[in-house]
Amino acid sequence: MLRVCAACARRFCFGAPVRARVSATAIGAQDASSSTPPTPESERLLSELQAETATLAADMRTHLTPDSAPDKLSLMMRHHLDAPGKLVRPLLVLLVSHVCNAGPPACQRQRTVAIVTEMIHSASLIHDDLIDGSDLRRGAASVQSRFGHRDAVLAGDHMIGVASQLLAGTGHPLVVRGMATAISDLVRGELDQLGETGDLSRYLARTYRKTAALLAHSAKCAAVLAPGSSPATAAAAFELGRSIGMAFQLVDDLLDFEASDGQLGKPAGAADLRRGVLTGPVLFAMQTCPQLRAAVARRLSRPGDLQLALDSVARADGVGQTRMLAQLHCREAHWQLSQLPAVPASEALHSLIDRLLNRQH
Amino acid sequence: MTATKSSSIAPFLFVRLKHYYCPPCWLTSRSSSTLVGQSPSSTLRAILSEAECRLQSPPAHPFVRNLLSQDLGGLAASLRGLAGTKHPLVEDAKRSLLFSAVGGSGGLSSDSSASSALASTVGQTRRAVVLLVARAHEELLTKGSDLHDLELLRRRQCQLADIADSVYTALSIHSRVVPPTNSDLAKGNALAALAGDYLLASASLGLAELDRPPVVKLISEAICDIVAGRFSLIANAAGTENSLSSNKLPDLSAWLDYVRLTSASLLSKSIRSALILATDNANYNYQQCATSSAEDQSIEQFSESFAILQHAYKEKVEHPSIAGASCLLKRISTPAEINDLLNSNADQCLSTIDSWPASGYCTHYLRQIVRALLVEQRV
Repeated sequence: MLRVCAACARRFCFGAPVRARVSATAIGAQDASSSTPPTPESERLLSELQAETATLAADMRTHLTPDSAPDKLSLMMRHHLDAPGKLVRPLLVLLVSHVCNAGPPACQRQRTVAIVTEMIHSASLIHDDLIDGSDLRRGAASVQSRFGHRDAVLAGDHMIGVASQLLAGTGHPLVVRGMATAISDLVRGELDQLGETGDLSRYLARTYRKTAALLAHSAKCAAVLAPGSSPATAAAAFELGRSIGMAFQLVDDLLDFEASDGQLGKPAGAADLRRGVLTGPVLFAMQTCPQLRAAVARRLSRPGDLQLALDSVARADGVGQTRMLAQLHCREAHWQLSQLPAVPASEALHSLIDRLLNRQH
Repeated sequence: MTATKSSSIAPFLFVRLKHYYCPPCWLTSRSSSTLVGQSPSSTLRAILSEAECRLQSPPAHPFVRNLLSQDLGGLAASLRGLAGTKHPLVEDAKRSLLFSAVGGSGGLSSDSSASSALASTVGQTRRAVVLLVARAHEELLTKGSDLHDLELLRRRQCQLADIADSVYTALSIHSRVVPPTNSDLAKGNALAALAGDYLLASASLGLAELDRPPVVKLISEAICDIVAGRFSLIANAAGTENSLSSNKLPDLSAWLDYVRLTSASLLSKSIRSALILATDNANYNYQQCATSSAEDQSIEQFSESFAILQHAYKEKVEHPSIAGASCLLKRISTPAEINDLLNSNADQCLSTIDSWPASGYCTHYLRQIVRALLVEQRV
């Protein structure tokens, strides 16, 4: 479980860097929160930026529904954007921009990166719903179930086309390259799911590609666009985004086992497992339960296999182990943030990291 | 090789060559010596092969080869597993770039050689035109550049042409998604989405690595145009069986809009991007483009006219892609209208080519391609 890198001698626990010499049990017993509670100023800033994300969402809608677009395409864009979700990604980009700017708000190009991040994420959701056959998204009909499968795929392509145009408008080759790499990683993450093997390290690599890569690259782009940016700042922002993304997805996966249908806005109740997608809780349980490994090998095809899987996860505390790993990533995120300029936005970001870890939906 | 004179001193050691052709070109030149009596598509293919030989461009379709490589073995195996299903991707594989590029069907089709050769001709034509136009403008745009810079530029322009092909192939694959009335179709849809996404992502990364934001902008605009074209009446009519009843036929202007969005846009923006790449690196200003607005307009006009010729050729020669339908252009226009359309657009192409810098073989092959497309389609 605990390994030391032969090159840099850093310690890792299931791929997550371990900053302090603590045991896994001790980590699991603690809440990995920042050392100081959020201040009123950081809370106010967080609220302001959350309101700003709503403005970004409106800008995104304008970019995606130009007058020249076909009517049906615009209708699909509006339908998908009417349920905008939590807008966590653009909020994170805005916060990282504040931090890397050493105080001043995000410039226009950083705001563009925030919009593009959400666009890429939205496009991936539309395609994911088609690939997974999901009829619901954010409590409403998915784009494919309402408008048709072929048009849904093309709608996602339209989003990618518009996002690429906006990136080109920043005029910064590193930004264009970073976000293109994020798109490529995202697609590779989906492809990785085709060859599902039940291997924990592959799951973590897939988690990075599907979720963390987008946040990592968008945070790095925000840092690159900051005045006086340096390679060290960009690298810290990248790791910050990566750690937040890993923690976010791990929590998402464990909530899949804990939440009911209403809270997530999408089909829940071990939905990933029912679709044959193996996530953290199941993979941790497989390490100590040979019957579960056998059931997974036969794709839960026998009656009772699903219940066997759920019972095995409960017995092995797969959810708890996944939460522990998420906490490790959050610790890493806090540490990387401490390497960036300490401004009021830093406290807001520390607070947001904790909220993402402890969220219930 | 054509030998015209042998030395009297050592004829078995030295042969002077008047015209040299590399072996593939020699083989194709033997068959392209006359247009009369040749099958149409073989003439065009022969011209394209000769042009590629002269351009000395590297092999095409690297992204599609990567798609079916061991690295993405899960997808390749899953795609091959579609064999025997009714998903349109299987039918498309018989003639699509996806499988012709790797030189085989991988078990997905049994009689793919002719139709996959056609599909590769369509993509090959676009690639050749982009590179020929770029090469025709090369001397004008790269004055003073040394050989090393020129070789680098040509490689980057080839990469751009491959990116354009990848974009077109990706969106074509995405257009093959259908209502999933059974599990095979649902699986086929998922694979079509993933395969197209992979090609689009590879294209995005390739564009980023060219380090030219204006090029990224142009090709991204082409992506949006192709998507808009796929939402048109023609694309939607083509997606359903027996849907082209007489009272639902689109008119010629709708057909022209469809061609402009789905073909001409990508061609014109690829050409303009190739010319941007030729801009002097040292003096590069991200706000500048290599061409003036008048030149952009001439490239747009050429691309529209060429796309009309190419699309009409594709409709005439390829297998029907929808049940009960044949060449759409023939069904919405009279033979006289079609001939007028083809002739006027061929004239437009040729007059634009004449206005470009005269560069020997580049404009020569461009004219030959236009004439080959025209000759093969007259009704």
